[in-house]
Amino acid sequence: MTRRNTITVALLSALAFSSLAVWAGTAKSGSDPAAVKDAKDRKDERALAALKEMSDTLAKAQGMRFRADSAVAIASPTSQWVKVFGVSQVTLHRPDQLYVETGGDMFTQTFYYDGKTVTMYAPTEKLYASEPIQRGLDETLAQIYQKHGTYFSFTDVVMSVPQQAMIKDLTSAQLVGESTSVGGVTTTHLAFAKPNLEWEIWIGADDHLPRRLDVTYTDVDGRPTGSVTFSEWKLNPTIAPDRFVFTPPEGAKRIEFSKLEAPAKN
Amino acid sequence: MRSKTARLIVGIVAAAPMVLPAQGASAWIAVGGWHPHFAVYHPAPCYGGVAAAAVAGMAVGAAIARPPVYVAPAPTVIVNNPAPVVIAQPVVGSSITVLPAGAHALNVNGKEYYQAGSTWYHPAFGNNGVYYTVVPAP
Repeated sequence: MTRRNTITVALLSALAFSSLAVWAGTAKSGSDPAAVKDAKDRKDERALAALKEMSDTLAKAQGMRFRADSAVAIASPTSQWVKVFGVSQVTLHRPDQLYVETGGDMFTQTFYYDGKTVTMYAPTEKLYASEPIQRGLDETLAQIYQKHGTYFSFTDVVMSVPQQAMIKDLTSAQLVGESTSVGGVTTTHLAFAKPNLEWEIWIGADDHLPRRLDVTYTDVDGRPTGSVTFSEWKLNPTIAPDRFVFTPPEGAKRIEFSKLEAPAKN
Repeated sequence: MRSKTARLIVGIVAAAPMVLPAQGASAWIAVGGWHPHFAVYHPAPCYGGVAAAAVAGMAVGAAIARPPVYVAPAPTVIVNNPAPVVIAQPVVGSSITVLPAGAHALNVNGKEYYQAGSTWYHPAFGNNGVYYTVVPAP
């Protein structure tokens, strides 16, 4: 399906199922190739402004608590992309404290970062690994990803300036419309593209908080997708002082973090 | 979860470090694109089949002892795998995401290990979960 057809279908759907479809001039019936190219390169200021408003809202909150439901695509043995769903309860205290309980169909584990030490704990196995990293939350999350492969689908949201990485290398930004079908609130639906990534986000029209984020890897066979929905938002909640500090439960055993290695070095 | 695990899954052995070949797609934009070397999520033990098979499928000498079955409340999805190849002894350096039945924990010189039969496993936290790597007897 061509991009134009996709857009047309999407627009028709939007007209059919939503009270409002704002897609600035995209659905013109003309087929001028130059117009299509221009459309691809367009960055709608309204979309960028709505994203910035979300980013500012998250950045200025001293703390937050939310639930993130992630769908992660994993290559099955037949190379089909299959989805695994996980549920995370997230507590963040700026600038550098993060607590995450992850479960659902993903490995059940708890992540602690108190600004000094990263700990991951597997409550079922009663195993944990700890490592001192004192580089601020952004850098710490990047580091555990690079060193151990550990990451969260919702990482963009807890960064100190959430939009910073999101708008890097954008090739297009669109205001798709207003949705009443995501997260039980009215949301502003935006679509963005980068050279190897297309992503959409639904942002609460009133509270400017993210409700859903979808990503498509356009340079990978089968164009796998990932998504995360955000709910149970609470900004500046009361947080127990020891929330981010891991105290090994009775019988828990300490193990090491694995290290990512390159194939050639084995 | 445990009983399900024991009943349904798994004896998946990948003759390569588990962190390398599996691919996954999450919604994290900041990572900047596709990083197959890193982007794998370690699912819950009852999902060990597909996810670990994704690891094993790309590895030389991978062996899948039993086809993994993913049982959702409804409907049931069965993942068909290539015919299993059984190897007698897990290869040192290979990794699994779920310990074989009967494995027991041992602490040797301050380090945690698991032993099942004559095979020793060293646990480590990586890629969003605990992996057990086959090691020589300590």
